[in-house]
Amino acid sequence: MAARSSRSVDKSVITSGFFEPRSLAVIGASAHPDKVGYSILANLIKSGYEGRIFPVNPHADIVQDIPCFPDIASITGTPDLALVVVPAHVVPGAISALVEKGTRAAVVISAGFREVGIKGREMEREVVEIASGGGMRLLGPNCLGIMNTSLPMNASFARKMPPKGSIGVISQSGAICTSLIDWARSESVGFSKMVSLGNSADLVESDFLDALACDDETTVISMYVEGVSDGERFFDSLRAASGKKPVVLFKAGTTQAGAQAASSHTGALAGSEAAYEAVCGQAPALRARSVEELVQLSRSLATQKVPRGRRVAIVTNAGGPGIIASDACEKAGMTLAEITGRSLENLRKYMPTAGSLHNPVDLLGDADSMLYAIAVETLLDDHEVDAVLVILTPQAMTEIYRTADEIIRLARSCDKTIMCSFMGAGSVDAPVSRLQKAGIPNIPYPDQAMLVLGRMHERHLQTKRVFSKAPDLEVDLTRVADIFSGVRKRGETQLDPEECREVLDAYGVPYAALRVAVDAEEARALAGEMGYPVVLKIVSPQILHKTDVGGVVLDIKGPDELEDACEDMMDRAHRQVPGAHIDGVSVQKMVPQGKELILGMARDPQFGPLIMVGLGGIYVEAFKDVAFRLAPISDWDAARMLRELKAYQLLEGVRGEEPVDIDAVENVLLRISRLAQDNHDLSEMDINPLMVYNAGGGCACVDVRMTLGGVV
Amino acid sequence: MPAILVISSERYSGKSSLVVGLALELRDRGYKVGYMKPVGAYPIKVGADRVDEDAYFLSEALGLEDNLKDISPYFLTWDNMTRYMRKKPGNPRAKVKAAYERLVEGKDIMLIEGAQNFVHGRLLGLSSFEVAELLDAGVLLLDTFNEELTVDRLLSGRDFFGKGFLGVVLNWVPERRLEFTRGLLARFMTSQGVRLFGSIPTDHVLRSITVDELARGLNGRMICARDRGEELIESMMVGAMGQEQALRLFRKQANKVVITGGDRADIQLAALETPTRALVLTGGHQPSPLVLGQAEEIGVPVILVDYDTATAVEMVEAAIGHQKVHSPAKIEKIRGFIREGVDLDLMLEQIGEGARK
Repeated sequence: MAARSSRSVDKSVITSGFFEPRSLAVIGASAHPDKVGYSILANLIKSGYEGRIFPVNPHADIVQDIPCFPDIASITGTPDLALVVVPAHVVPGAISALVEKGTRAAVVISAGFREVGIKGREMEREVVEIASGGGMRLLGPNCLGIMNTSLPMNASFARKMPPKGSIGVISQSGAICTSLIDWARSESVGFSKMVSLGNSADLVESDFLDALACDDETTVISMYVEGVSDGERFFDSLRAASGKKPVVLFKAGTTQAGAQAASSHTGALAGSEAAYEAVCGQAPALRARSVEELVQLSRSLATQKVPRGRRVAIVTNAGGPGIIASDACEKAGMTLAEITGRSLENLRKYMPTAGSLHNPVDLLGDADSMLYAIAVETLLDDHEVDAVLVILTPQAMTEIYRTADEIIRLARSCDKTIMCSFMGAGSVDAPVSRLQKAGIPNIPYPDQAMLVLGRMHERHLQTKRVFSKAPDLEVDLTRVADIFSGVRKRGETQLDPEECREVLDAYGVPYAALRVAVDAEEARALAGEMGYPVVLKIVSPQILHKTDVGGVVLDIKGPDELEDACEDMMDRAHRQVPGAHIDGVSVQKMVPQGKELILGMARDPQFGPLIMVGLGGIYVEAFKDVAFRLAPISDWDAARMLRELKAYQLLEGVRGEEPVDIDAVENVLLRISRLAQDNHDLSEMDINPLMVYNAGGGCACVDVRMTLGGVV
Repeated sequence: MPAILVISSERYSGKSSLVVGLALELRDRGYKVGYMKPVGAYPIKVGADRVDEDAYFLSEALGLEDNLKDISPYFLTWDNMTRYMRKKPGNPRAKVKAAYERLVEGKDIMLIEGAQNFVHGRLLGLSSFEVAELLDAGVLLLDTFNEELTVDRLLSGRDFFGKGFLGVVLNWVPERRLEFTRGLLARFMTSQGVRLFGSIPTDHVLRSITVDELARGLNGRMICARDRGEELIESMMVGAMGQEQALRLFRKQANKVVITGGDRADIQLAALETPTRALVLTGGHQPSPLVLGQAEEIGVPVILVDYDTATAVEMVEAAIGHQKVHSPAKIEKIRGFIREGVDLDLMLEQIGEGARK
């Protein structure tokens, strides 16, 4: 990652140099149709690019009917953008000559760099150095190219351009770009810009994200990402972009197998699933779970208004699909609108008696286009409805074309979300195409259509979100630094329990009283001071799972019991983990049982500290009910984290139970977030359990583990 | 001639390190220091002679001009041992004595390095007991600290060597046990008539191995960052988990070698992202060019081996902690520990050199 540039970019360079160049040089333009240098030039011409084109090729006078220059130096004028398609070893020379010419932007399409090994990587670095020395920015190398449909300009070797539209696409895979274009053409989806990042040697995903965020022709940003070059910067860019327009992000490489493939493909860490979840939740961006969702959601957001509320009305000509959509409604976080008053009366007036007047509104199989029109119009006019989903199954009497036309007509004059689900293929294809050209998305499966509506509503909620900052807390930095340096001095990375307690204490996190004793005699003395009952736990850097070796004894009521338990415990530990260094035992005041939570922090190499909270105790593994956020978190984040848990209901109290002290837990979350943020040395922390008591009763950490990172 | 025989209760205790450190410290105090290792174990060829590897290294490090065959007259390999069992080896004791006489010429003090343990060399009449008596040397026991055994070994050293037993230096004492060795243990040993000269803590640099040594030991092929062969490796981790888990674990350990399959690009990147000194890739797979490029760029050597991960782990384990002190960094380190933690004055006093300090 070290080689990648994270210096920020003047966005106007991207606009004037890459998106809207007035002139273009094609270095390596060719007259041979099997060469990439041919396709690039041919695509440029075919796309209708109106600026000046300077083909450069030492072996031709004219290429594809355009006068050709033998070398870069002899170009008459300064091209705004250069497309470089020559073999890799010639690229450094070409970039040098372009810098000399004063060109400030180049797309290096050529492959043969980082992706082929050490030599290629050196050459890539050389190219970037030459470019930055001359004030030039680079896209690529090893990329498909760049497109701007409104200029128009197809500066890529993708055969065709997508229709003009408002989705801006940024992709780390050139192949995904070409597939998206193909799909966009067949589904009449319009793109504004398309950027294939390639190796991201200089300009990275965040640069284009920043640029598209400010691009007036782009209303939705759609990203295919395998890994990011600088997590923190990416998060900032995503947050800024999301504030202006929806960003839909698909992240590939989320499983172990996927991560392995992604690592091999990009040479970058795939990044943790939890971190991307947190990033998308906090930016906030819309995370697509599949490429299909990426395109459906992007398209729907680009062409339709987002539902301002959760209430969806379904109009259908068949019962089954209506039920399917209703089922999906809840999963999508939406509700079925209630149809009452004037809407109900209106529907009753025109609808067949056997049909259903309630949501889903079933017009029955013989519904004609007029009936559809009346129903859809009625529901669009209803103040109790936020979005209308029109389902159509092609039956003998169905007027597919006319129905589509009616919907298009109604959509023109309405400010609500309309989504269609014309099911099937073949007979619906042409009418669907007509719908889509008119900006009404059609998703042939009603459940998926409903889910996309739900995601669109999520965008509405994002725009309403209030941002708050992490609060100021009083903490003792020096004390923590001293403790950490003590651990380092021992040559260890694991803090002992007493050190963990002190660190938390320095950050104002409540902890059940605890001391470490080297032997039974000392344990007895400590327990005497503390008061019984106490809990005894083995202390050894080599024994992480204490219960597995009988290293935890609860509820010890007196000194004899304690001494006995202590000796037994040491014996067992020595026998079961031979060679472990046993430092002694921790003596801890037995705390009353409360609700158990688990809190944690792990440092993500790309995004920084990730704060986690979940249901604790023995259920952690079974339910995996956890929520993540990137530090620093705000009050709002802490509150949201807890409310995201399925176990939140338990915290609020079920069946007459009293609610627990949620404020106290939120406070601990804020404090460990601050701890993680202040102390870069701390690589990992687990609090399990955090015992939480009834409202006003506070909470207490019972068992804590902290690990420092290895020193570089 | 005052002489100290440095012995140990087990091999790889760090005798050579201690001897070279002591020699240099004594030289700083104005002593002309001589050195001998009567019974060696690992021969190397120097010119026409075969001599003990440590002995050769030490004589180089100390810049001794004595005859190498005098410094290292015998070594006991399997070959030699069976030869001496078939045919009596002449008179080793006389030969050692004669060599010693030549070595003490022009020296103020002699440091003699013992064999692998107290009894090693008995076949030649040159066990530590016999050498101490033959060369009239005081015995310094270097004991690798062991929670259960150290106390008994120290008391037994006193019993075995009797009056000639100078005292003890403890080596590889975990930081968490230094308080014990310097407190309760030292007091107890004094009460038992055993002098504890000092404790040398466990140190990662002293246990380390260079990347070159590792590559040689693994019979592997280093395919990038070859200029980083001198870097020291202190520990090993195996990559057989997912990328996230690997990152969490790898971050905890600095200066490590990571062993993983050549096809595990995810693990390899996790290793490169964390403090790693070398990557050992098993199974004969070439890594992805992207990973290799990155390793070269940040200067982490990649070593390819044809065998499986389990075998590689065994071989690396055998190598780490069993390396010789053959590097200037290690020598500086050991000298520092001696200055800080070993009572050299008390030791010299025991061999009648108290007045010279």
